[in-house]
Formats: sequence, C-alpha cells, structure tokens
Amino acid sequence: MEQKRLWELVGKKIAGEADPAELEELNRLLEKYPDALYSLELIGHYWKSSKEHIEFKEREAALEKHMQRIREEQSVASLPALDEDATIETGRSKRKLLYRVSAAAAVLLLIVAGYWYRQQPAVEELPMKTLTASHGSKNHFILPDGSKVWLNAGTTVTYPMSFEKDSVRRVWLSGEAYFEIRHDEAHPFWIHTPQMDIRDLGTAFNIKAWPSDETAEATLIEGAIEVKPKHADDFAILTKPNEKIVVYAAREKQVAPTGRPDHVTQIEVMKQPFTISVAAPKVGDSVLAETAWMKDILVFQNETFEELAVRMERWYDITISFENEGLKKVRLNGSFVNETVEQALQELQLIRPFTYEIENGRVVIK
Amino acid sequence: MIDFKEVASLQKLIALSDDEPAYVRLYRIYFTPLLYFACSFVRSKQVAEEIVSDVFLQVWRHRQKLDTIENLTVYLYTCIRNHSLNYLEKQKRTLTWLYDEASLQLPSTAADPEQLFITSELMREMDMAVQQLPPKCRLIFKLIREDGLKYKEVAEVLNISVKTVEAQIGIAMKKLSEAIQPHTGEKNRLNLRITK
Repeated sequence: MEQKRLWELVGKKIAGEADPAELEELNRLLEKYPDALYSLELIGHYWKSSKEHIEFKEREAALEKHMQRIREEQSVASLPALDEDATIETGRSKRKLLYRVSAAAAVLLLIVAGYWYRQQPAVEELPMKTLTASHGSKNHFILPDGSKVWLNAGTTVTYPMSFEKDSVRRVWLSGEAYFEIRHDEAHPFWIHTPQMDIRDLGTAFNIKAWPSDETAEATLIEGAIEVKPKHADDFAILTKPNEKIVVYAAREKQVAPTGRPDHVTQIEVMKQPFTISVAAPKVGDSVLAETAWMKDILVFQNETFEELAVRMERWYDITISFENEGLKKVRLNGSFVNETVEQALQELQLIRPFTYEIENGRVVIK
Repeated sequence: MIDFKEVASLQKLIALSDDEPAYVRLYRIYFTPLLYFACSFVRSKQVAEEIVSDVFLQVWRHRQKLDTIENLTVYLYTCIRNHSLNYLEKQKRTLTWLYDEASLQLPSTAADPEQLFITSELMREMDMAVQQLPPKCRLIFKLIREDGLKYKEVAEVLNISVKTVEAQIGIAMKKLSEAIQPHTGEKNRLNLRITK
C-alpha cells in the first residue's frame, strides 16, 4: 500500500501535479525506499526528453481536405439566401432567379464533381508487368521502387513498369507474398487483393490472399499497415506488429426464391468482416507460422486435410484427389521442412491412417 | 506539447473576427494529438481523421461562441471521445479495442544521452516499457506526458476519477522503474555513470 502511494507520488512530482504536502510525503517515503530515488531521477529525465509529436505530412493533406469541407458548406449555405429573394421578386424576375439558382447549383455540382473526381483513384493505362512463382517453386524480386517481394508457390503479382507516373504505388496480388516496402510518405503503397486492400505505412508484412479462399490474412511483422476489407469499406484496420488480420470474403448466398422462378444471388456481407489476433506461436526458434514458407517450411495449424491438400498441390506441384470423402474434414497440425511428397504423406499417415497412390505427380487419397 | 497560451489567444481571434488563419493554426496544433486520441477508440486512421474533421467543423460553425469555452482542450478531447463512441455504436462494434490502438506509438526518445548522463540503452528500455503498458495506462501516460494535459483534464476527458489517473500514472512509474532496475552487479556501474 505504501509502495503504491510512493509511485503515485513519484508520478505526481514528475508530472508537476504534486502540492507541497505531497512533496513532503514523498521525501519521507524516499528515505524509507532510497532505491526509488534512482528511478525518480531517470524517469524524470525520460519524461522531459521528448515530447514532440511526430508531425505528419498527412496533417497538411487532412487540413486541405477539411478546409474544402468548410468552403463547400459555406457555398451551400449561400443558396437559401437566394430563396429569400424569391419571395420578394415576381414575374419575369422569378425566371431570372431560377437561372441564378440553377447556375449556382451547376457551379456547386462542378465543385462537388471535381472534388469527387480528385478522390477517385487515377485510372492509369500504364504498361503492366506480371511476376509469378509457379507451383513447386518460390520467387523473390525487387520492385522498381526498391521494395522487396517474396512470392510463395502459385502466387502472382502484377505491377506497373514504372511507379513514377502516379503518386500512388499500386500492386495487385493473388496468392501469398511477403513484402518489405520502401516507405515513402509522398507515394503511398497499396496492395490490392480479391478480398482486401492493404496500405503500407512503413513496413514488413505477409499477405495471404488466395482468390479461392474464403478468408484472407495480413500479418504484420514490422511497422504499420492499414487493411481495408473489400466488402466492408467502412473499415480500415490499423495493425500493429505481430498482429494478424483475417478478412472474411463476402459469401455469395443463394436466396430461396419466393414465388419467383429466377434465382436471386445476393452478396451477404458478414456482420463481422474481420478478426484480429496475435500472430500464431513460434515454430522452433524464431519462425512465425505465417512467414515459415519463406524458410521453406510448410506449417499447418488446425487445417482440414482438404485445405492442406490445396497447399500441398501448390507447394509440391502435384494434384491431390480424395476417394475417401471422410478424410477431407480431418483437422491436422504439423509442418514439413525438407520432406519429399512421399515423406510428407507418410508423416500424415502417422497422424491419421489412410492409404494413397502416387503416379506422375497425381496423388489419390483412399 | 500543446501551447495553451497560444490556444487561448487563437480562440479570441476566431470568435471575434472570423480569423481563418487563426482557425487553421488551431487545427494544426490539435490535429495530431486528437488524431491519435480518436485512433485509440476507432482504431482506424481514416475514420479518426473524419472524426477530427467533424469536430473541427463544429468549432467553425460555433466560432462566435468559441471564446466562451473555458477549457478548449478538454472540450475538444471530450468531443472526439463522444464522436468516436457514437461511431463505434453505429458500427455495432464492441468496445473491446477501447484504448488498444495501433497507431499510438510514442515517438522514441531523441535526447542526447551524454547530456543526460543516461545511456541510450536505458532510454530505449523505458520506451519499451511504455509500449508494454496496459493500453489504458499507456493512453493516460501519453495524454499527460505528450499532450500536456493535467490529471484533472484527463479525468474529465476520459470520464474517470482523478484518483484513477493518479493510480494509473503510479503503475506506469512502477513499470518504468522496474524496466531500468539494473541487475545486481550492473547497478554500481550504472550508478557511477549517473553520478560522474
């Protein structure tokens, strides 16, 4: 209790909130706990050392946007003033007023349209380049801006030949990749995937976004990223290191027709479009499950055999089919490091007995 | 750190003469701390930016009355808090992320260690200890140390008691102290360094 009071008083003194009686009380306590004097001194220095906020270029951009809002509001506010005139004026002048109102409306529309246009991402017709890591292989390359990308097997990244023509750097990803982005505030970096968009804020991170998957994942290793689920664009999730964002793709749902012969397909937006969790526990020493693929480790945690099979197809450049449907839903945990396909399958047999046939890269699970 | 004297004079200028440059200055002063604060609730920089803009739009609309606000800092932080909570309610999102924000990364210390007789290692350790504080504790620590709010103001803004603020800062002090407690043997070395 006394110690708790001691630290409260230390805080008050450092923050300049202590009154004379409290300073007296602190001095008495410090006689009893002289070690705290050392902390008091160091924390006091620390407290004063850096109080500057990081100033954003973003601040100026935000300010400009905000002042635009104020101007828009003021131009809207000036319209009713014309209306008041209308009650006084009659006949021909009423038509004149109509012209004035519509002219004002047109100008306003132009302003709004111009603003809207500026908000839209530029539609560029730049020559694009596509890089692929085929099944059974991985790839690693450097983008025109010096950012590094590692591609997992079966992944495709498309990007413009040059980033210079646009103020925004954009790449399109299908599959799984690890990015180390060269941060440049003036040229934001966006990664577009089928399920979500990711904006880099100075960073190294892993993105898993297979077009066929219901979920997509972004795992932040360092820095900061903003993740925007495609089907819930109100959300922009800021992520901190070691966090994993899982985005659920909107499901296409067949709605039973009531009295109508045609089927209506509805996009059902999930109530909770994403979850945030801490990146999975470490495998071995320092390898995260999410980025283990870069170290040639295939990690699977609580995955169904069916899901794992899809990954093994990409990993080993094979095809896997199931004769035994029951095995598809079996959940598996483990990892492959240097195993061949056969070794991997044999290890899986230890977890859950099954038989298989393999011929020319075609595996049949029985 | 917010310059409260300047803020008071800006308030007058804006209220009495619609002074737009003064308003812009006010926006610049508060933008970053308010953005961080809003972010700590809504966890999205984009949404936080909109909330800051909304609150400042209110300020502009009611500018004639601006000089009647006694403590603009508390007023603005409270508005941001209310807007943020409204936003979360509209989103039907639970408050589990309250105070647990990603962006609230305190700037690391840029002081000259020689001058302070403290090793940069110790400063780093304290930076890290701050990062590891429980989210609510860290937010309170930041509001006081960086934004320069008084205990009473923080209590008002967060709708908690001054006693809670005291206790939370006490916890932060204890954690910081633990972080820099030298291991036995090292202690003498460090003491020497401090007293040299």
